[in-house]
Amino acid sequence: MYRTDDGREIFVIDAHTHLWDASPENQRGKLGKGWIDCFYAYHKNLSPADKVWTLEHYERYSVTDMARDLFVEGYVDMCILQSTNLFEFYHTGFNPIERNAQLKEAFPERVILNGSFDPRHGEDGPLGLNALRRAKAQYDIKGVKLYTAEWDKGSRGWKLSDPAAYPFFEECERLGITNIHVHKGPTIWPLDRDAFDVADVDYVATDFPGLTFIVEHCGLPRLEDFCWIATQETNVWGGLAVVMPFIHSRPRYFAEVMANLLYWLGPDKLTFASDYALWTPGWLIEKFMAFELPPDLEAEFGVKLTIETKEKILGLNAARLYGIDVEAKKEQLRNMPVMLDGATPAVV
Amino acid sequence: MPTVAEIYHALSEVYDPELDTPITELGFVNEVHIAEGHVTVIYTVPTFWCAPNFVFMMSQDIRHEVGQIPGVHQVTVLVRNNCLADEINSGINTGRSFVETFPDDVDHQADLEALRYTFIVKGFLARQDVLIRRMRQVGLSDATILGLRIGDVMVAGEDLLVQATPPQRIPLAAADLQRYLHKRRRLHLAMNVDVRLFTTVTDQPIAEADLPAYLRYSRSARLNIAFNTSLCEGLLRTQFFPERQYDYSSVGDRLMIE
Repeated sequence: MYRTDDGREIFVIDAHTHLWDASPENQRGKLGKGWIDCFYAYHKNLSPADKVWTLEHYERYSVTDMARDLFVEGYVDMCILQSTNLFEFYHTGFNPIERNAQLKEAFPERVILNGSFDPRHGEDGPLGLNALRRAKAQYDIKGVKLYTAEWDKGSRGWKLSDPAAYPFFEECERLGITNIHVHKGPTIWPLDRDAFDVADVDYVATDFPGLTFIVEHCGLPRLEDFCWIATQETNVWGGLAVVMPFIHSRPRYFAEVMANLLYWLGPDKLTFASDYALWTPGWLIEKFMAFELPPDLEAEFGVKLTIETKEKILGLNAARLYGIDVEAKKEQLRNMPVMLDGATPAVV
Repeated sequence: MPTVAEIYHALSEVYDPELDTPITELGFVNEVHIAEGHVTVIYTVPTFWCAPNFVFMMSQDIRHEVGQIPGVHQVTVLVRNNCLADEINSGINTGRSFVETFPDDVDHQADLEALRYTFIVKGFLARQDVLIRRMRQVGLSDATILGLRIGDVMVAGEDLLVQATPPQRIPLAAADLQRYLHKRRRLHLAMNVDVRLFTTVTDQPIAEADLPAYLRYSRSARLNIAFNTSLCEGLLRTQFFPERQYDYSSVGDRLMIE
C-alpha cells in the first residue's frame, strides 16, 4: 500500500515478478551465464546507484529477500509471479512454476501465481497441454506467461499465431486461464520476420476475444507497432516492465512513452510492473507517484497522468484482470502483517 | 595500404539497422587491424541476446563497406558478446549468406532485405518527424511546410534557412535536414531542387488533412528508436565502459524534440 501525503491509500499490484535461480551451479554453460549477465546489465544501468545489488545476490535471492523487497519495503500489496522456464539455459529452469510457488506458499494471500506453456511440447512435454491442466488443478492459475524466444531442442523461438499454439489457447479458454502475458524476446526463426515482431499478437487477440493479452514491456523494442495493435484490439494490454526504470535515468523518455501509451491505449489497459528482480518496486513507485507529465506533452497528446490514472496503473487495472476485490483485499491484508522468516511481524 | 581513417570512414556507413545509427557513433567498434591488404574489424554488440539477424546484417555490411576500400584484399569481421557470435563470425568470414549460415532456422524463401527495408522506413519517418517539428516550432504552418521544395531549404552553418514568407531561420537544424536527406537518398527518392521536401516513403505527397494522423505514427516510431538507442548504449556502457555507467546521454537524444 502506498499512502499519499493527504492519506489516500493506493493499492499496488506488481504485475510482473520472478523468483529465479541463475546461480553458477544452475547455469548450463555460456547461455545461462549470458542470460543473467544481460539481465544484470539492465539492472545496473537503469537502477539508481544505491539500489544496485551485487551480481552474486542478483543471481539467487531468497523468498525472504523477495517478500521484504516487495511487501515490506516496496509498497506492493500483491504480486504476480510470471513463470519463465529456460530449461536449456538452467538445469532446473530459471523461474519455473515450482520455484515461484515457494513465494505463493509463504504468502498465499499476496501472490498470484501464473503458469506457462510451450506449443512445441505438444500433449505430454514438460510444458505441454497436460502440464497446463495440472498447473490449473494444482495452483488454480488464472494466467500464463509466454516467452516466445525460448530455445527448445534446436528451435529458437515460436509465434503466438503458430497452428500448434491454437489448441493451447483453446484449452486456456476452457480452463478459465484468461490472462496471457506475452514476453517478446529475440526469436531467430524465421529470418524474414523481425525478431521482436508483435504482429502475431494481433492474430490471436482477434481469434480469442475471451482472452486478454498483456504484452510485457509494451512491445518494446517495438512500441509503435504495439500501440497500433493495442488500439485496434480491446483485449490487448500493455505491461510497464522495462519502461518504468526510465523514470530515473531518462525521465523525458519515460514521459514520452507514457504520453504515447495514454494516447493510444488509454488509462485502463496498462499495468505497473517492476520485473523483479530486474528492478525493485520501492523506488519505482515512489518516483512514479511523484512524476508529472510535462505540459508540452499533455498539450500535444491531450492526455493527463492524474492520481486516478496512477491508481489504475498501479493496481486497479490488474485487479480487474484477476478478479481481485480491492476493498476486501485491503481489509484482509490490513490484518495480516508480513512475517519474514518467522521473525516479528514487519510493519507494512 | 589502407589507413585507419579510411576504415573508420567506411564503418561510418554501417548502420545498426534498428537504431538507424552508424555503429561508429554507437561505440560498437573496438579494434581495427591492418596487415597489408588484410583488415580485421572487431566490434561488440550491447547484449548477448541482440537479434542475430541484425548482428549478421552489421557484420555483412562491415565486410562489404571495408572491402570496397582500394588496397583491401581481405576483410575479417569478428563480433563479440552475442549468443550466436561463433556461428555469425564463421558464416561471415567464409562468405556465406544468412540462409547458408543458419539453414535450420530460416524460411528459405526469405532474405534479410525486406527486414532491412522495414527499419529504413521507420528511420525515414523518425528523421522526417524531427525536421517537421523543428519547422513547426518556429511557427511555420503545416500548409507552408508541406509546400516546401527541396530547393527552398538551405544550410547556413549549423542553422537552416527556409524560403518562406517571411523567410525563417531555424537554429541548429542543419544536421536534422542532412540526416533526413541522407535517408531520402538511401531510399532512392527524388532529390531535385523542385520536388517536394516532405513526401511519404513511396514519394507520394502528404495532404494537409492527413498530416496529423501521419505524424501520430511517425512520432511513435521516432520515440521507439530513441528509446532503444539509449537503452542499447546504456547496456554497452554498463558492461564494457564502466566509467560511463552513469552517462545517460545518448545519440538518440537528437530525436527528442521538446
